[in-house]
Amino acid sequence: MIDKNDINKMLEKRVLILDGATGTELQKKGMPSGVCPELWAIDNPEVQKSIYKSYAESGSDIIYTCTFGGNIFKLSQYGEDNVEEVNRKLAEMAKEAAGDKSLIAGDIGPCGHFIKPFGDLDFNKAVNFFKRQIRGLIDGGADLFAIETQMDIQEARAALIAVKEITDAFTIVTMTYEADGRTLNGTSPEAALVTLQSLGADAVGCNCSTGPAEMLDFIKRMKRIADVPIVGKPNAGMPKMVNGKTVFPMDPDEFASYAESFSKAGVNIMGGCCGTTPLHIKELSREMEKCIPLLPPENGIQCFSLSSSREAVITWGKDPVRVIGERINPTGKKKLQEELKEGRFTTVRKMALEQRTDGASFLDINAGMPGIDEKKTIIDFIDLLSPSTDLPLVIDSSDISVIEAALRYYPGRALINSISGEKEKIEKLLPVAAKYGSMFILLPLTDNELPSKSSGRIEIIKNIYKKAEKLGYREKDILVDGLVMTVSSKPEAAKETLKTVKWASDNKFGSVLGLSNISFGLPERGLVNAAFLAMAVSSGLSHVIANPANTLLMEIKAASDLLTERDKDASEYISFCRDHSDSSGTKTGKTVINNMTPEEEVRTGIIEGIRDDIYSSIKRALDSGQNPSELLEKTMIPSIIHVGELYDRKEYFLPQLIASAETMKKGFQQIEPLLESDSGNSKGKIIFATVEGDIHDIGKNIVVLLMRNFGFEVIDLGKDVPAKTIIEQAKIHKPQIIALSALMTTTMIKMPDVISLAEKEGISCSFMVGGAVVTRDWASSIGASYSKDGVEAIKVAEEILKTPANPLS
Amino acid sequence: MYLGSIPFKPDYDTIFSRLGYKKRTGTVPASFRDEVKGYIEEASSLIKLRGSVQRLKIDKIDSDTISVNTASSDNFTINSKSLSKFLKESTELLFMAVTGGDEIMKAIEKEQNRDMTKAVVLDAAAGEIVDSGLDYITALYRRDLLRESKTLLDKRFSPGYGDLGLEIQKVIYNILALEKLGITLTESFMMVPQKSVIAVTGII
Repeated sequence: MIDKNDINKMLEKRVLILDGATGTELQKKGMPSGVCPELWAIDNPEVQKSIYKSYAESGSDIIYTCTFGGNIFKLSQYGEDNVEEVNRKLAEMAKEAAGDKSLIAGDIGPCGHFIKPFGDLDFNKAVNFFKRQIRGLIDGGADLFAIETQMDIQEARAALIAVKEITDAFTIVTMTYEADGRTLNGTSPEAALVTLQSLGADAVGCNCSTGPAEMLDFIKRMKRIADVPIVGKPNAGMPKMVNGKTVFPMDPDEFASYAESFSKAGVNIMGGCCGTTPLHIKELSREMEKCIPLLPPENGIQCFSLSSSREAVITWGKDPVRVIGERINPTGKKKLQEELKEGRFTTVRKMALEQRTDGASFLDINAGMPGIDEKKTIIDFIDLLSPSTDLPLVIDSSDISVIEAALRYYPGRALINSISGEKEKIEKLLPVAAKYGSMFILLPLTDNELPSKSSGRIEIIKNIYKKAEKLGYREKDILVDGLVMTVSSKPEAAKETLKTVKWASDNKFGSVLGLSNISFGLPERGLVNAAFLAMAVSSGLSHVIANPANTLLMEIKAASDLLTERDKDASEYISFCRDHSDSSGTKTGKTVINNMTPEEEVRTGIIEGIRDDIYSSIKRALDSGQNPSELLEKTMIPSIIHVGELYDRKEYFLPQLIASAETMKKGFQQIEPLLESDSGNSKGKIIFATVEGDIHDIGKNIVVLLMRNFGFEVIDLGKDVPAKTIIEQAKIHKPQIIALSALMTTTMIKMPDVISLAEKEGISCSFMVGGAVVTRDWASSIGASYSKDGVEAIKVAEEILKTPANPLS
Repeated sequence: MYLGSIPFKPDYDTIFSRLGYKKRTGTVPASFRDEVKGYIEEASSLIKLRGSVQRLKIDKIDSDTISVNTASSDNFTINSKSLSKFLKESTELLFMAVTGGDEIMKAIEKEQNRDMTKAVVLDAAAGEIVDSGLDYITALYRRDLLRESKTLLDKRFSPGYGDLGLEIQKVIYNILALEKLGITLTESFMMVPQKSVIAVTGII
């Protein structure tokens, strides 16, 4: 094992060169399809050694062992379970072949199973499985580690934790990004970088999936926020199918021509992946010698960075204040408490979604309440929220073991709320936080002291930071809590908090406030909180813990950001105003109806599908003396017909059609009792049913809604209705039309059964059919009319009823 | 292999398109667009996308039967001209299934009686997201197969297409052990929750 400082020294001098592909080289040298590459390499040592050797001779500073699939899951598929031995042998072979020309990186590929919360494999089990591989590689003499081709950030974390729990070796972690700039699991390069560098990866980057041209952008995106060296290992171009075979089109010269642009983009370690050969590496190495390495700044990039499994949230010094959504906390919330006791998470899910929509950048999660297992519940929260939200989580607990479990499991970089100067927190929690690379909120109090003056708080901050720094923390990893106290009992409380915030800001720390304590005991607390927020923003506040649904607070935040030059071009403020403006109609979606006549209001309501306001519009029309029948016939019906036309012309899409139909329905229900007896008579009677065996009925329900709107009397028998029931109901209701719906080819065959039974029972009404798989020809073949959608169904039904029919009598 | 939680992001454009929106002619006010997007977000929050997939060898394939090797004694044949034609170049096949779970279906049912507009959007979003689960599985295999210099067919085939009856869902259900995903089959071989899909594709 080589000291990681030695590798860092090499990186200061030049861009280090990795090897190229192993798999495609093995295939070229005779490895048949379908075998286990690791076992085949062991059985054919000369072949494998020749590949190692040729890379060493081509200028690879680091060669990966042929152990990509050297984990228990992959090996056991081929009947091999001695993971340690396989890895040891392949690492030994690499050491022997490379001699002193190259360092040997123990290669760890994906295990082929998804790890919780994205799969079923237990996280700690995964860590232990990787440890077996790592021990074998160490025994075989690996100098460093390369965790590669990862698309699941949680698996990359598991492998990295496994390495770090065994050895302090230099560890490269590379994810694989598709052309859209995300891993298949949706992780962005920035998110992976933040998560992995904070967790202790010594170099982070990407490999495989794309060629160098596409990968360059990922390198640039990572470099912008990287505190560690950046790695690139692209394929030899994007794969193409030629004569039924996958080929990589880029030749060594073209591949190597990317050396300069990669170096300028900030790559510090570069090699090749699928389709690259020793020749590609030789050319790359030659080109790269001319390039000067661009190392990360010594004190890291000055930003606050947190990540979820999908996204990184990067906060620069002059960015708008970030909101930490505080709502996922059972304290004082009875409904949430009851749900959590029952193991249900509907409200948590809803709160997460709403807070994101309302403008939170992070979600605080707290599961501290009596009667539940806090540790289990916080893990449940992570299981629930990791796949469903982009927002990084803030782990909020007073129990160190809960925080530790959450940090180990969370597939991103979390923020801890909080670490104070209390002895237990410093001795136990701080090292845990450092192990998982989390940011933390620093609470400036100790076991014995809750300083009322900022000077006392600053002393505590300095003391805690001194200890944190020894564990690798920098100012940018810490948010100082300004410690909000109640102004009604301590008039100077606000001033002292603001001084603390300002000090933190002046000293490169982030800062955070939980506002509401300031106004405790006062009337109109919201005003005090909002004013305090504005003052804190002016003092340099970077984060606030709040309920983002609090409009006043969010308004003041937006305005304060603008006034403190955190909102360049006022774009955030303008966007905020647009999203929250009622007067412009943007949020409510209503057309301004101030100057309309009552009839115009009803017409607009139906055409635009303003479901909530139709009642008052109709009331207004009736109050103004409008005759109900006239309103229906001259305003409402023409309006809904117009909507049908808009839908036909594809100006409207389905939700608009339905919204209008629902508005019409509501309006009709309101007006129906007032109609003269001959108004609003049924156009005809139709029985609707989804046929037996078919459980899909939303399409049928849409048609029913539209038909009713257009004045048909509809008897809806629901879904999965046997032919016998339909015919029995037809005898009772005597419809002019029976309309049948089916989604599947396998159920539409029940349609003719209904028609046959009707004939047999002497029912001579017309039939209409529809549904996803039903076609005009099929309908015709069974003697039924067809319509492709609800609007056409109305026309078809009207057409049927124009011709003399033989309804049951 | 089980996928306990398939990551997804709703593709608004595709869902709008599924709902009949035409870029060239469509006139949707920004407010209504936001409303629909809100429903899509809500659908996303209610969907737990899970899947199951199995890679199996094709022993033999002729014009109307495919013999599938399950590496156990339960080898079986599928009788279907359409599927045989679809898989004719393949040496192996992938059976896959994805479900969006029960919660979204409950919401769709509930909203049909309260707010049909919302119900149709939830329904379309769920359909699209569940389909995207199959896209995920195929992309996953495509990238793994790259190392074997293999790939997948461009398209997928589902029971109900051509002459492949829904009865085959029972066989695939057992192979993929879909009860573990909380899926059940009705007597007519339909999956419950409804927002579940089964597909097959070939490896070439």
